[in-house]
Amino acid sequence: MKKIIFILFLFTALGCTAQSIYICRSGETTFFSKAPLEDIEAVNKNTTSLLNTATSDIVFTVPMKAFKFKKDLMREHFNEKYVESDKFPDATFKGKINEKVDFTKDGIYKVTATGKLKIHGVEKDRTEKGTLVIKGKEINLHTELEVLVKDFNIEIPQLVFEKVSEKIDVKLDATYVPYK
Amino acid sequence: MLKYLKLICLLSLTIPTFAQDDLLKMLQDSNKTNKASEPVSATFKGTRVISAHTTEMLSRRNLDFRVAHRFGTVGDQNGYHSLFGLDNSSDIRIAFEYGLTDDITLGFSRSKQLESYEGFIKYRLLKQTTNNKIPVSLGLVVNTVVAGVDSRYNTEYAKGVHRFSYFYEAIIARKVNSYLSLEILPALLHRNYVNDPADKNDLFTIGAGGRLRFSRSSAIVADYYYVFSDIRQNSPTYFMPLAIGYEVETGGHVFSLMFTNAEYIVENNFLPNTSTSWFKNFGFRFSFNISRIFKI
Repeated sequence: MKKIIFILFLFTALGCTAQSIYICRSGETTFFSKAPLEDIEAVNKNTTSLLNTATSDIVFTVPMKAFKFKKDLMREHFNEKYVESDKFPDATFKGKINEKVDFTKDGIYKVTATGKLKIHGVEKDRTEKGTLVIKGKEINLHTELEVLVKDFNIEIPQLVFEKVSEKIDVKLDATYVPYK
Repeated sequence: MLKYLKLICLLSLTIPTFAQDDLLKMLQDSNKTNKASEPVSATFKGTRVISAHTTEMLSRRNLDFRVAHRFGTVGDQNGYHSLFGLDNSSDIRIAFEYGLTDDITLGFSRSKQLESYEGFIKYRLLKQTTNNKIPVSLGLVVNTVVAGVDSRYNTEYAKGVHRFSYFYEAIIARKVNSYLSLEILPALLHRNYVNDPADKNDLFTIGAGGRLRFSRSSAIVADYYYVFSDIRQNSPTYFMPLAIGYEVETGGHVFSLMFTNAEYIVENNFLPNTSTSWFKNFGFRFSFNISRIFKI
């Protein structure tokens, strides 16, 4: 009898986590940086994220090598020189949504999330604003943030012709479905 | 049993504090299983080590304008009057190379030596992958060179076809880690005409090249060719071409400054005819390659 209770207990525990976790497998992260010669823009469609609606925990990974640029050379420089993707393959965020959101109710919610943003191996505490759109079993998230390259020890080599601005505007869109 | 239940309760209490880390780990694990293997990028910085081709290709619709110079030997008899060979350019190559696709590059060049006009096609068959399923990158290059120079003696270039030579090379390269890349290059050079009766029309060669990156933008590069040819191995006036250089990359430009004992730039000219030695009379020469890539 005790064993059965034990097993039941386990199942309910597992069931809970599975139902409350939402996943986004192909979110889109874009960044934009003003440069005197040519603006630098890149799109990354391999952004992934998990959202635990029970605890409001939220995490992201952005694989640096998946950023696509207008020019392949820019992509090579970005990976080799700026973010050193071999050493630091992913940018990550792990945090918690501060507001209480009823994920069972359709609607548009302005939220903030506080946590740790890690780029180029450097972790920073950040609070970011975003918008959640809940519609049935699907959750959409849109967020925009500003990244200063020097905050993350990203050096811009002196000898580059494509001078990149210090401030990078990042936009992120994620669509979540229940995790299976 | 109750003990276990208590333990589980306790554990489930502690879990929430690590939840974000767990969630991140769960995400990273799920990414790992979904991740397809990726091709390795930037095995070499440019399409040449120094003299030798690399497995790097021009991206589709990219045009590479290349200028290469080989000067006179440092041990030039005029010494400082020729600024140690800088006044005596032994070869100049100007080239346009174009990425037809990401794996096919076409090139056209003209060099000073024998007024050589070169056309080549380079094709990349294999790309090394990060999971080592494909351990090396493999490229093939084929060129045709026609010498435009006037005959220097009666029997030279008696027929038009004598002006042609062809070079076939396989490039096998591996990015060992993010600092070191190596390649080997087995090749065959066929010349329709050779002026020494003891010389052969077909020359087999094997080359080796490497790049050692020591900062984000700069690297030490070197390449070497060994030519299988009896008359060359026994000759006091023939030496195997070896080049050592410094490569710096500045966003769209690649500059290579180097020393080499090869007088000429195109394989068809320098492989059979490298007549100065690194170790005799300062027989190496200052040289440079410049590459500028345009997207069109």
